[in-house]
Amino acid sequence: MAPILCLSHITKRFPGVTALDEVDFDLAPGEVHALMGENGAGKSTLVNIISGLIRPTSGNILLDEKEVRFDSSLDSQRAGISTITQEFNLVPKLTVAENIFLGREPVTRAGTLNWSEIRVRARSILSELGLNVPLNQRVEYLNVGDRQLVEVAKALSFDFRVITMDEPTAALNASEVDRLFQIIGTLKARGRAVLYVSHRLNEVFRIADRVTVLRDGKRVGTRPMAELDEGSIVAMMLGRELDLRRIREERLEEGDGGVPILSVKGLTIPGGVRNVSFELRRGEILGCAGLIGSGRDELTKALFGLIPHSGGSIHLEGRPLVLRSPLDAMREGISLLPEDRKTEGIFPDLTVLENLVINSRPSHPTRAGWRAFIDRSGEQSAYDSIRSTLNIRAQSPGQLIVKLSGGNQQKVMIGRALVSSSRILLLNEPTRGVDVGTKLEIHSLIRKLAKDGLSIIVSSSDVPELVSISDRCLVLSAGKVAGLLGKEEIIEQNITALAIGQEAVREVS
Amino acid sequence: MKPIDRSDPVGRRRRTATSLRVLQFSESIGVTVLLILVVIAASVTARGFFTYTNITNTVIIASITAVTGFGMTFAIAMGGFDLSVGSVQSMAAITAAALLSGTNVPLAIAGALIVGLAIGLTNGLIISKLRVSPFVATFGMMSIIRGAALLVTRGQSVLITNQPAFAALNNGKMLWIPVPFIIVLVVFAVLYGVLRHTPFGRHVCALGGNRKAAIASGLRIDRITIAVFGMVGLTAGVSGVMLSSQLLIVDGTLGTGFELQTIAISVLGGTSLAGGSGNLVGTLIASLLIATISSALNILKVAAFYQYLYLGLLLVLALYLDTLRRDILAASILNTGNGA
Amino acid sequence: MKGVETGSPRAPGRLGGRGAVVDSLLKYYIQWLLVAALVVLAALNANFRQPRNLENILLQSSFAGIGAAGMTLLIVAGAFDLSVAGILGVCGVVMATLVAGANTLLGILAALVVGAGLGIVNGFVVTKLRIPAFIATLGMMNVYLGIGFIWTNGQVVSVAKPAQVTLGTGVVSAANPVLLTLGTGTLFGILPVPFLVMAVVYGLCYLFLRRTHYGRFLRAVGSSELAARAVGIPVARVRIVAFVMVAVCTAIAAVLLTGELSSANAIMATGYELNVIAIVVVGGTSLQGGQGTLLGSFTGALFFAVISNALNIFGVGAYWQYVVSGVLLISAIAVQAVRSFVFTVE
Repeated sequence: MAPILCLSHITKRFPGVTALDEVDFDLAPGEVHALMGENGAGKSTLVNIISGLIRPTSGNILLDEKEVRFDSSLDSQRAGISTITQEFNLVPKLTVAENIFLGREPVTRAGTLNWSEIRVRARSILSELGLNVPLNQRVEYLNVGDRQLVEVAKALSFDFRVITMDEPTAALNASEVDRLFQIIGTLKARGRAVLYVSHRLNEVFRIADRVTVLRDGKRVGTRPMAELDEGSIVAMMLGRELDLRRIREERLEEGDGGVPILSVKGLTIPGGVRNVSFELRRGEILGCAGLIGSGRDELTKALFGLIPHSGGSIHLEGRPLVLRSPLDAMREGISLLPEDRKTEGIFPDLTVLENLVINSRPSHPTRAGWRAFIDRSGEQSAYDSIRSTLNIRAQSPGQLIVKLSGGNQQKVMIGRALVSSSRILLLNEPTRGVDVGTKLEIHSLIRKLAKDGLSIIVSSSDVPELVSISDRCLVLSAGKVAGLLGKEEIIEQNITALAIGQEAVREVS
Repeated sequence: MKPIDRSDPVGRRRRTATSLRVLQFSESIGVTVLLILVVIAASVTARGFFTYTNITNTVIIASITAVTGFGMTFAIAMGGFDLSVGSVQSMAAITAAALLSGTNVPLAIAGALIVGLAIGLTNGLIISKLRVSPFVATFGMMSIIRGAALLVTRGQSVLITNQPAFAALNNGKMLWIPVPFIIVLVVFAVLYGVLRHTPFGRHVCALGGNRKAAIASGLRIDRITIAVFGMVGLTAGVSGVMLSSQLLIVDGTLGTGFELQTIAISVLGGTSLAGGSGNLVGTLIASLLIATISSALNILKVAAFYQYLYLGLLLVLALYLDTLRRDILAASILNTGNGA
Repeated sequence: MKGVETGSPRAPGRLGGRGAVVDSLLKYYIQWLLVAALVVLAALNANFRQPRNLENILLQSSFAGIGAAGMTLLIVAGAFDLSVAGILGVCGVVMATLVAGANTLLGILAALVVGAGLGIVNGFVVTKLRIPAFIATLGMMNVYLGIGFIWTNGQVVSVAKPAQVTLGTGVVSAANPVLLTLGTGTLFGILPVPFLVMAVVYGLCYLFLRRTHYGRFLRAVGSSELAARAVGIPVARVRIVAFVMVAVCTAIAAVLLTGELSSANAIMATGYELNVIAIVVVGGTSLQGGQGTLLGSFTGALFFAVISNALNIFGVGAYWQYVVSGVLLISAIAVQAVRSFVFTVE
């Protein structure tokens, strides 16, 4: 069948960087076409060109084999292309119905909103999606899964032929993912094309017909899913073979004979977790798995004193801890790497050096070793030593941190945790938004730190990462401990199974 | 297909949703209750408050603030605000007064309204085209127009004499309702209809509620911004006309503190500074509230200085209530959203 | 939100290599502007060139300039304070009352303490009640004005000894000698005392911002509040400190201004907030927080004084000041917006 959308020789150049280089891409009706690639490979750029947000430097776009130009997202919508992004484009204080038709409201002859038409159409779309919420409910009162469906409803509300989904399952639990895939199946049956962007190999294998892999702005290949397996896709993405099994075996051998350093009993955080108990042993890497909403983020934040807990206790080497603020945690030698470095990690206006040393001992008035004035040479030497340990690539310590790449910024964040001489590291998503090469560097760094005696909790949504580096793995599901996996039990199936609430497979098959 | 149910039982979600609706309802009710209480208190303690003349005067004074308050509510719903309304009011009043001596009443009013509209549109243009924040743009414009008003009048006052038709704008009544209040009701009806029942009104709230979503939905941000600020300028112009017909003597210092009043009544009336929604009814009621308190304080011979004090404190109180509202909302989302 | 990842360090923005020159021009634009203005005006007008006049410029620049130092710190910390006119009024009348009634030193101390107190109040309202700074301080301005009026009963308070109170400014010699020196005295016959005070204030503020950890916290809080919390910085306390700094600077300005005028009243500084914020913005500090330039504010204060002086000399009405301030404020922000637009990789 002739493709609906065909991009040929698409090149996009920004000052100093070529984001896309002669990329060809097409979408046929009734297919789910997955788009994969590392961060920076050009996926978002391609999606943005299709949705009309940016224009290609050269190349053309063919819609039904006729050349078109998208000067704005509105043009792309009018051409029948609907886009769902990772951040929901919903307005919290408007109702479900108003959100669905935002920008495309049916009006009466007088120019006012045609409420009866809105109601009728909205109701039919919602029932098709199985979404049972009142039409005049403000979106801000809905939970994440329902909001996602309102987004999909938005897309369904106009006659589209192509729908782009960018990491649509990031915030969904397993049953919601099933629901979404069912809907995608319906769309396929109706002849719509779905462009599915995702990092999750298992989902892509489940849902896609074809996959296109990008690397460094170039198209590496487009193949039917039937011809591929996990390893070949990763190979396409990285440009080199990666023996996934070998990585799993490289995990630290001991981490056992473990003296517990941190002991958590019955911890309850409102809106986070309920009655969580576990131990962190000295020198071990304790993985912490769980989907979004499982309470992982809240758990690490509570262990750092960033948010309060309402029940349970935390003991450090047998001593009860009262953590009223991060300062208390830092005094005890606990450091946190926040989940989202963009919003809660880096200080965009400060330099690399300042970002690194911002919470070192001399800076806090209530900590021992406080000084009012900055000790420039002391900070410089701390910076130098961390920079070489972590291999941070920066032009100079006085450079603004925003000029660094994502991977290097992440290293600075980790360095910050190290500078405050901690014994316990709480790392949230340590390799988020980081390219594969840096990711491996960070993993071996984490292993080295554990070998040197630090006790580390790695909370991550990247299951292979957890499999690769954890000595033991705690799995949270919907705020409770679903299981604690010992060394031999840490495989992807077990982690995923526990995370979505099923029993773990006790033997490794 | 069955709807998905998270860890919370459905009943608990329904109960939280109900309490949130109560909160919404109380947003408009709260200030009404306050008004009733204050009116009662004023009638009891301030002799001469509950007379026809005094109530009429209070309503007239409230009207002047309410008209621009509606415009300001729109601006706040869009996620912005306008600090220049006081200067615009003064400029419009001066324009009306100046034109009255040369031409007839309708032209004078038109001139004042055009001045208000023009300044508002300029604000909108500066904000959208020059990428300047509403704070800076309107703060700067406030100064510019204030200077212009003083320059144009050379620091003197302008008298409006012998214009009974114009003065009737303030003193006249239709069916025993003072004309200023009728103006308020008309403006209210129009703006309410626009806000709730036109795509434009919904777009204004979308822009204030989630700017990125508004852009992604293809809304014309610039146009909406310019239109809303133009509207605010226009309502400031209307209030300038009303003020000049009341005082019959205008100068370049009018309207000082007007921006504070109009923002105060919007927030008191339930419009959140966070943007995304606008409560026009609340603004109207809050304007009556403030006028009532002022009137009572005047009757009780409380010095004018104390009014500065109470208005400032009232605003801070209203803002704190807004903060509390946002907290309750955030906490309840925690209950209806993810998590234990 | 601020742009966070601008890509590889190699990408220099839209202008390529020429970018460096343009950037430094834009970065120091206020300094260039000041020099240009001085040169042009000195060439155009003989009166302008007179040492007396230049001395006057330095004097006039200090009152708003000192407030601008504190305001720069506050804006760097991510807030603003629109109530400074009210703070100035209250501190001025408190000091004037005590000086006239008791002794000078007590008056000055009281002004500073009251200033600090009002700063704490502002900080509390913004951080504990969590009300956006601009509207909270707008409301507090009214409150302070009210307090100032009530204290003085609407009158002007003169710092002359009660027995020698007269109308107008004639009886200068009977006024308080310390304050007179403070307000109008000069060093070496050319540098007014207020200007020296301003230089000292700026020096101290610079040391604080760049050489102390707390100053770094200020920048961190303004840069990313969430990140600041995540590293244990006491955000509320840091902001309150910033509010106190701007209030104390304003109190210093109040002391000097009262000295110059030999009197004080509640509305002695109407429009002060506009002047101060305009100076900070025109000086190059971004309203987003996290970064600021004290040198820019210092230059900006001089620049505005030069403009105002020029308007006077050329016989242009004082009302034009308002217009000019407003236009400069908006233009400065527009320039900043252009600068960040040009230098961000898409």
